[in-house]
Amino acid sequence: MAKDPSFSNFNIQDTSAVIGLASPKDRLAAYILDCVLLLPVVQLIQSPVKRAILEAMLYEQSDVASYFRYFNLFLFIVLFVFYYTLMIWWRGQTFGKMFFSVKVISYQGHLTIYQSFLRSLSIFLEMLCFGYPFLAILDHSLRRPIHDRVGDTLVISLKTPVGFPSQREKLQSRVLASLMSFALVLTALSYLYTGEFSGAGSDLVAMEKSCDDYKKQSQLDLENFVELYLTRKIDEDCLCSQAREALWKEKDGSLAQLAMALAKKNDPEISEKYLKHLCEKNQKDRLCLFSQWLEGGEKAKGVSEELEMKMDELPVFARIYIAIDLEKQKKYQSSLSLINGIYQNHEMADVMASLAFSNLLALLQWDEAYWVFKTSKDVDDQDFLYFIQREMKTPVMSNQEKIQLIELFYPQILQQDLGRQPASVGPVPEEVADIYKLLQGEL
Amino acid sequence: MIIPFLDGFLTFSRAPITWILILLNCFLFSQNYSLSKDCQKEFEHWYKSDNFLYTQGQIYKQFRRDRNVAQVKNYETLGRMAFTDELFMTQAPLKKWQGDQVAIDEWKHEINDFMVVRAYYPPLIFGVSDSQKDFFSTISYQFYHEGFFHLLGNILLVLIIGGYLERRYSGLMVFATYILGGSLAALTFALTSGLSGAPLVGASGSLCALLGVLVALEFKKSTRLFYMILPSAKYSGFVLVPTVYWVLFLCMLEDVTGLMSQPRLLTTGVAHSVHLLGFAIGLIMGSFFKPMVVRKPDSTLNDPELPLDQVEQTSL
Repeated sequence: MAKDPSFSNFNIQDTSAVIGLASPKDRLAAYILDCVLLLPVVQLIQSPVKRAILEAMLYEQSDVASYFRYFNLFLFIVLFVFYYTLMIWWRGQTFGKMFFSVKVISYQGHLTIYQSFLRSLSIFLEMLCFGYPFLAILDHSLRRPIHDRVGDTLVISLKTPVGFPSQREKLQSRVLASLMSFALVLTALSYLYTGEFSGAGSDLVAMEKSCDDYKKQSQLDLENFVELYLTRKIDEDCLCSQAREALWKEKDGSLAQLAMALAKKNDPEISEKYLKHLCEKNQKDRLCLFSQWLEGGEKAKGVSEELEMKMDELPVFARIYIAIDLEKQKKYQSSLSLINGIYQNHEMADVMASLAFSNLLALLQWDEAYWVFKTSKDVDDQDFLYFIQREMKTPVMSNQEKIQLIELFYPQILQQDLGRQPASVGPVPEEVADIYKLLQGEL
Repeated sequence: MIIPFLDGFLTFSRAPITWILILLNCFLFSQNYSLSKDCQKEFEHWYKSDNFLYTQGQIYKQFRRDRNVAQVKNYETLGRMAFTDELFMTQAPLKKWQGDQVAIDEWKHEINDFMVVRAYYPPLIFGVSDSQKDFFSTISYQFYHEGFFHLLGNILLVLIIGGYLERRYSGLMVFATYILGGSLAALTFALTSGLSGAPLVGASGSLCALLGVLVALEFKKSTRLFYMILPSAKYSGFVLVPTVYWVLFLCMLEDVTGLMSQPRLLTTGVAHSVHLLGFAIGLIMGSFFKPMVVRKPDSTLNDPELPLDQVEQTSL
């Protein structure tokens, strides 16, 4: 970057009187006119690429579309820089500058194509910064923003000389710069707040991401997607899109109908239609029986005999669904044996582990439950808390048993009770400690 | 902003034929505006329903059995395209289709409602479409506009271009160009590219024909443009530019770009090819009119309202 000449060897006041600096408004107007004239030509050149982007989007070739998008941007940069470089080098003026009688001259010596190129590239980079650096035009003594200093150029007016920036103009530029900075900071903060920058955004964004991630995993079938939905790893829309695809490909017939019914549960009329279709061909179909169980709210009736017989044929998610229901009905042994029959390495492992843990606790098989609690990554304090809270509401165990249970899982609570905190083990969850105190008080 | 200004906005007494054409446009628009809005509101329900569009897209794929359509994987877009296929809209609800039967039943139910609303949609009554390409439509489509800004943009330009041609040459020529140019553009388009169920409406085809005549008659003669680069008197005003340059650059270039960037299966909602055809027909008509009309010189116009001498003009 060329330095500004010192006033000792370059009498800028004299130069200004002769040539006159171009006014910022003239320069802005010239720039706008250039854009007005250049954009239609750029768009014409870009049109085959734009067509390719639209076609790629139509054929859902997102990689190709993004490749063409980058190419389009590259083309825009090249054309923009090419136009400015060539015109400034050739005439010292673009069409806009010609119209508003503004000319670019070299600050020292003859204007070279290299200077012109650097200047044009710099203008483009300044545009990427929302035109923020252009404000220097109001503040610099020779109205030379960054691109003029990079290219070592000066912009003069071929009309009436405008002169140097006044104090008022300088003040205006600082106020504008402060306002723009404030707006930029606000925008950045709002982006950060909504998570669009950090990627830690709303649940919806996270859900969509995970849906796409799961879709990319080719080994996952529709059954896995239903499991993911039931474990709340994906939302209704994600399940709906998978089920819909399967239905149109006439794949996974009854499972796709069931998945669709689950995904459309917010629209009971449609959901019912899918369930009806599911049982249309075969009333004894395992999924039809399961759907009837789902629809009828079998909590009161329990699992039908026909369904009981086909239990092994049911998909994992259906069995877990039934196991959860059995556990709610306090049929812990049946629930536990149903889970034990399922292969462990599954999408729903965390649900299964939590359910098994809860059943074991209820069946007073505390040692086994403690082992699950200590070894399974899917079982944590929350599962224990959930169980103990439920016990407080609908007790099965006595208070003494509950205290013993808490002391078994959190032995440090005894020391904590005495005012000591063991260093090696973690703290007792606050809610558990409160329940413990409450139980002791009742005793 | 740069727009052609030529002789400016002429009054009824100076360009009566042009004004009659404009008033016809306004009349037809005002008579059908509320009905058109009501229909559009109803259509929103279908246009915005992803499930409906997806199902329609899947059915359309089975209906067309076309290699290009088969490649499309974005079913919502395909569903939107299906709306413009007249044959599909009338035949598909009557046939059996493979796939999600619940969704298909829902779609058939919905499409019947859609067709009822569609029957009352004014652009389909006045416009040129696959189901309607008779003589009356090729005339009426030039006078009907879909929205207020569509109408405003077209009538302002018709007033400027048509008014200029009428004042300088002949009102009959403007009338013939508007009607014949617009009709021939629509007919040529129907014969070469084929129409779709989406109706072709608006005066832009006729307007392009008027532009074609203007270029043929005043090829390199400079005409006035109005520009406003910044909202200040210093940065706005009039400029004289040779007609052929600004017509090609300001008006026709956009249509060439639009046509070139249009994918094979999609339409952008703007009939670029009709504009270009209208312009080409206008050029031919202009060449035909050239020996028959004489340009009235400025001195004979004796028009005190015109601010020609009062404004500062720049010549490129």
